[in-house]
Amino acid sequence: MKHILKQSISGAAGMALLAVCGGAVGTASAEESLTIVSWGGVVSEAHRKSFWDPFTEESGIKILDDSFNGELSNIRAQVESGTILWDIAEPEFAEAALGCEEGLFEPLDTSIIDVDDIPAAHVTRCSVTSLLASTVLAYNAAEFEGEGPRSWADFWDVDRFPGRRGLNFSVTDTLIVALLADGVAVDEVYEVLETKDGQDRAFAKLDELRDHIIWWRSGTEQIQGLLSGEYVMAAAWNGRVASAAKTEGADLAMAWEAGHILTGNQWVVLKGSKHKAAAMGFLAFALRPEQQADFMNGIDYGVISRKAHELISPERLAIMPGNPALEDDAVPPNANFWLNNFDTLNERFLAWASR
Amino acid sequence: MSFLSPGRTVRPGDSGLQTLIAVGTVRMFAKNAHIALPLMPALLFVVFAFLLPILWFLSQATNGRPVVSVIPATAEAIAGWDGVGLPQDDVFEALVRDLTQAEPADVASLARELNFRQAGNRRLILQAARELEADLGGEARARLEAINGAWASPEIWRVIRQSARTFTTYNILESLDLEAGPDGGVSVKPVDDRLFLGVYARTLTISLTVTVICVLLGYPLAYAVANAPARTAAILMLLVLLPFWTSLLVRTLAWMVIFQRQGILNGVLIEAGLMSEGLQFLRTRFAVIVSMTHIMLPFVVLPLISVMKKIPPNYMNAAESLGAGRIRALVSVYLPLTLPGLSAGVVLVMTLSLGFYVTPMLLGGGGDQMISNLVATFVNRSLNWGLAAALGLWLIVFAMAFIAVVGGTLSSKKWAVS
Repeated sequence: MKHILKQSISGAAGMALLAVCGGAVGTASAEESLTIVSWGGVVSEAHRKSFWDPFTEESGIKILDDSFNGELSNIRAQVESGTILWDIAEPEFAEAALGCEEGLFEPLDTSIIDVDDIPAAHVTRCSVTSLLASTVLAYNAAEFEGEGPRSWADFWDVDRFPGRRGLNFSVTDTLIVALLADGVAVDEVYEVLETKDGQDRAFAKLDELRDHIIWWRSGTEQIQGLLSGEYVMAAAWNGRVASAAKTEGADLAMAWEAGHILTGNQWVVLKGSKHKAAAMGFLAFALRPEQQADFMNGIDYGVISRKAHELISPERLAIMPGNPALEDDAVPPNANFWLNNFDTLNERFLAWASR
Repeated sequence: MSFLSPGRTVRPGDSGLQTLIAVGTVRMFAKNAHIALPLMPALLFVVFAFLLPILWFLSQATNGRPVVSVIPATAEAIAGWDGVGLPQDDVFEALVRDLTQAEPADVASLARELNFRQAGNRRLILQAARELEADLGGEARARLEAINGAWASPEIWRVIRQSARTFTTYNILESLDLEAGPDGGVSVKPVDDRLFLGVYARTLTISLTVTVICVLLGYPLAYAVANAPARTAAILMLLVLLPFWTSLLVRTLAWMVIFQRQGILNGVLIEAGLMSEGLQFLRTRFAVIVSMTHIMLPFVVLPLISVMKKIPPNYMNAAESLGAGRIRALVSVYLPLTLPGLSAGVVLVMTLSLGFYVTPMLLGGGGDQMISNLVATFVNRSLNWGLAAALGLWLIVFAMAFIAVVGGTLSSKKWAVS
């Protein structure tokens, strides 16, 4: 109920409010400002340091920020009601592609945004990759006397590595690691997952691990589980693991060679944004190699700009998703597969997890 | 926003009735202005920020307009198809016309809507729209079938037929794990495909369990508070209210700290020598029930205290002086008098529990998710608001049915000793 309420208030009541006090909203901003929604926590902090504050300094345009969990529902409600609260958002690949198709975003102004340096897979008509992350096999090295797990097959091997496993309560990563554990190569994962047999294979593999899985649901929870011993290894986000290893002094390790799932966010400008020009200006600024390199030095997430890769130290680059050297072990992003199959596979996954 | 547009509420036929109602409302308002005026802000707030958005959202459960508005001609033509074999030529022609005329953004939403029904439909629609645009001319049926063989089989057409209705029952059926066959008959899905019935049953079981435990714990507690000396009562009352003032999220997180593997509970158990290794408490049904009971307890205790305080102590003395034992007096005199408070508490706990979201999400495992968790998924991740609305609709129906039943059976009049 809480969600229905929240959604309908943000959606319907937003529209009702607009109808009541229509004019006032549009004319309120005398001083130019941009509202950018990102993911909160360390991610937003890094954005502020490398993109938002330097941009304000250079252009005089103030940045207001908000945070979300990548959901398109809020953006859709804003665009459909014409009450645009956010100018720039940072959804994940699949949501960015879907919103682009449905006309929720403005096309990129490529006359000022330099996209030559960016691989074609990371720039669309209305979105450009802002951040790259990987879901990796992470483990608490303190839990193992000898060598830790080296592959997803080890992750499934509860006899050799006793203890529970932390997995994201989400169909996407879960099915992929199940196939990796079953011996599917990183570049064949989606080929297998396309077929009914491949889907059955992934769920059958999950059945083997069922009693040992603890589900995590947020960036902080995944780390908390590793630190508190709730589970000894997890499929976790590389940036969160690295930052926890640094700040908590925990002995967390990552097995990149097991195969990691490359994922990321993209910047989009909401359709009907009243500060469209400033928003495009911001994207052009944020994509400069110097800003992108600064971002990678501030947080353990990668960026797509190849020129930026040359500006950071080789040691840092070695743990950056998006680094070509890590590409051989990466399951590449596939927004289109999930747009076609998410609903059906998600329902099957929820039913499976419910049993 | 249908409820905001005046064109929908005033119809030519019922203007007389409307006038009557309007006049009646104005008269009633004028007569009771001293009550109505101070109520207006609250009333308007409830109507505009609560009732209308909820009604609007729930109406999405049966709203087929997102599909019909993109392919209006197809919707009209396919209504004449009986669902057997393939549709007639005019349906193919209508779809080709609709898809070539629709805006790309609308085609994308149509593709998303139809993909909820079956994976692959999105690709089918987007591909058809794209290729039809590139190549004009030719017979509609042949063109579509050449683009993708799937257009030559009835499945996609059945999905379109079922979805392209202004009033669609698809989401209502889906939310109950039902499916409509080609002939229109409704049947329950195969066991492996069922999802929602089990989660509804679980939601009800968890809510009922929490309600029963709350009553068993709360009744004696309320009795103690109501009958304690003033100072003790004040302290006990504070203890009941203190958690009530803390946010639900904070209390849930506190239970996480207690229940986790190296948490307080396991620490105490190991320290006491009861076990050598920590038990799994977090991500279990046990954790969900304990935490929900803790959160819900004040909702049953507070109404009970207020009712119990109003029961004169000499009623019990009177019962005992007439020969009733202590227990008989409690059951026949005291209990019936507390029923209004008890039913208020039970209704509050039950209806609030039905909608729990954060607690099962953070403390429960995959098998402890309640219906709200699914609603959240469908609203935020799938953008399947129709299905989310249908799921929410049943939750409201459950809550109302429960209120009706409890209101009926626990009313004190029926139980009062004659």
